[in-house]
Amino acid sequence: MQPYSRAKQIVDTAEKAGLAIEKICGALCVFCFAAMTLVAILGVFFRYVMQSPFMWTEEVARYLLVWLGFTAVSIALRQDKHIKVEVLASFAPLIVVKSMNYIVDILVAVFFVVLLWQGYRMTVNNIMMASTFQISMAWILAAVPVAAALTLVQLTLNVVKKIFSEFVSDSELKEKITKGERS
Amino acid sequence: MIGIILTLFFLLAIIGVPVGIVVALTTLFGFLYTDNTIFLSMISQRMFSAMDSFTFLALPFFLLAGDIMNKVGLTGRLVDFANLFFGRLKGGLAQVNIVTSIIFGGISGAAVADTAALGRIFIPAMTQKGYERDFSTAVTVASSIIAPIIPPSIIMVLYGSIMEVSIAGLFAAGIIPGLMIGVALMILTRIIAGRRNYPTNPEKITFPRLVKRTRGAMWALMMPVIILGGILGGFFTPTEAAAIAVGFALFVGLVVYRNLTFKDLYSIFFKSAVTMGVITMLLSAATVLAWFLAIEQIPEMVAHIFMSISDNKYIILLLCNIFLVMVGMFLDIGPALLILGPILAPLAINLGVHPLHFGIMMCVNLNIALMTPPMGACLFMGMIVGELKLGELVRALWPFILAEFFVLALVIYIPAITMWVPGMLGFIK
Repeated sequence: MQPYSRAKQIVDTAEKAGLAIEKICGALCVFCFAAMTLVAILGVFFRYVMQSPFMWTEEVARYLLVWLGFTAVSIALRQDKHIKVEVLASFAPLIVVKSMNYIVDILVAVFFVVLLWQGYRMTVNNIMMASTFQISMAWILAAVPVAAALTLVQLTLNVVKKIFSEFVSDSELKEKITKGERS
Repeated sequence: MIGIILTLFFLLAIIGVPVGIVVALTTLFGFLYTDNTIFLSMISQRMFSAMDSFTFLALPFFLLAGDIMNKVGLTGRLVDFANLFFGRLKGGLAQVNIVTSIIFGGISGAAVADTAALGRIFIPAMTQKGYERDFSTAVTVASSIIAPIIPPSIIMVLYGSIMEVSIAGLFAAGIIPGLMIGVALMILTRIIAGRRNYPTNPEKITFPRLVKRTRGAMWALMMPVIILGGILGGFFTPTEAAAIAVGFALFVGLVVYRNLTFKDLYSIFFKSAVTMGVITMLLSAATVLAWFLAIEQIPEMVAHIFMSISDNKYIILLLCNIFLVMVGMFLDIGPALLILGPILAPLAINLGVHPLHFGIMMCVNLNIALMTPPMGACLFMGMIVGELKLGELVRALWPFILAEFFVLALVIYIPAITMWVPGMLGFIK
């Protein structure tokens, strides 16, 4: 018997790809968060200690927050951290819960497709400039469509994992568990 | 219109769509239903501008400061400090648990974090001293909601951001209600401890001990002084104070105690970032919804429904609160505040309730809902940390819930409790 079935390979690949994207997004978020903290502290320091406020600190901190917040939406989706009402899951039979989950995934996808579309339009139609820096606001607005796209990718990978893990046989699951215990 | 929106909202929520996306989809449907497809572009624009806000920046910083302080281990030192004074009361450790929540409230602004952090310290320590496990967990859960009522408070930043209410004003207004909940819980604990003959801490307050404990807790105690003193004294904006809090926490961890590694920092930033992802989805979607509801004049319609029952201010407030308790049983505090704030606040303000008073009332109410069965984030965290079943925890918890509802009633009907401090500090014009 083959040690790994096709289904198992697909599940593993989807997991690996999702994790890799999460790590990259995570690094971006941590960078934005750290830079935001630094810039904000700098702002306070120059305003109160040096008595000569930097005008740009507030603006830069805000833009970093936008990128941080929206990028993290996709990580929260992959980790299933978004707040939801979990009434049905505790009462309904497994088969109902499972099929509901697919409907939920489709509805979530509908929203992010709309957000991607509208966010893209907002970004390319932008004619504003950031006030203290001579860069186009499009660089900051782009956080919205990029976040929508990343979330759609993570959502797709999650769904692929869910579908194909239905076909992974029990023996393989068991093998994975015992392997996990040894390592 | 209201009927269709409500039905859709509940249907989506019950099948398990994340609440932020429920809100966004409901709004999307509303645009299509009212044939205002031109508004579709508002979705991305409003979501963006909700996040592009200097006021809202306070939230990630307070989140981060609390996480760093916990990691550095300041919580344990605070417990030792409070134990010296309040451990001598009957039911010592239970009282210390409540007092630590009050001080902790001046550092962190999230109830669930408080349940987790203090539960891990207090529940084992209390059961070892002979307190019942369910009682120990109940005290921890009940007192953890003090943290988001005493400033700084993450939910107040959320509420202030969407309702455009002064965050410093909300912070000032939360002080007395938070302390009142603490005192109410301490009195109740004293009564229960007397009946069950719980132990006290035999340590005497001696001078060397006092110096040692104070030095240990000094850095943790300085934090609320800097944050609150800075904001309430009008020196810093809440956002600046939050940034200073992070800087201070980093200083304590990296320079004073030197127990913070680069790896720790990365994982703390990462964890807070994921929480920000959750909050971003909620806040930005709720902003679009609030905008849509306003142009469709939904708050007016809701006001009309409430006013048709009664036009007495006190009865309306009571109805609002009953409604909030019911919603809070199923919905987490963040989404409940963000969705219901824009709907209910105009009604109350029309009746002459001050926006700060109503904001605090909502925060206190929905915070209590975090621990009312059948579900609530603090209730669940209590079950995990205390290793209890829902029924066991609720049996020990209900007297505390009643005590907190009593304080809520005082907050609702005596405006001076919330308005006195902000009035004195000049936050009310």
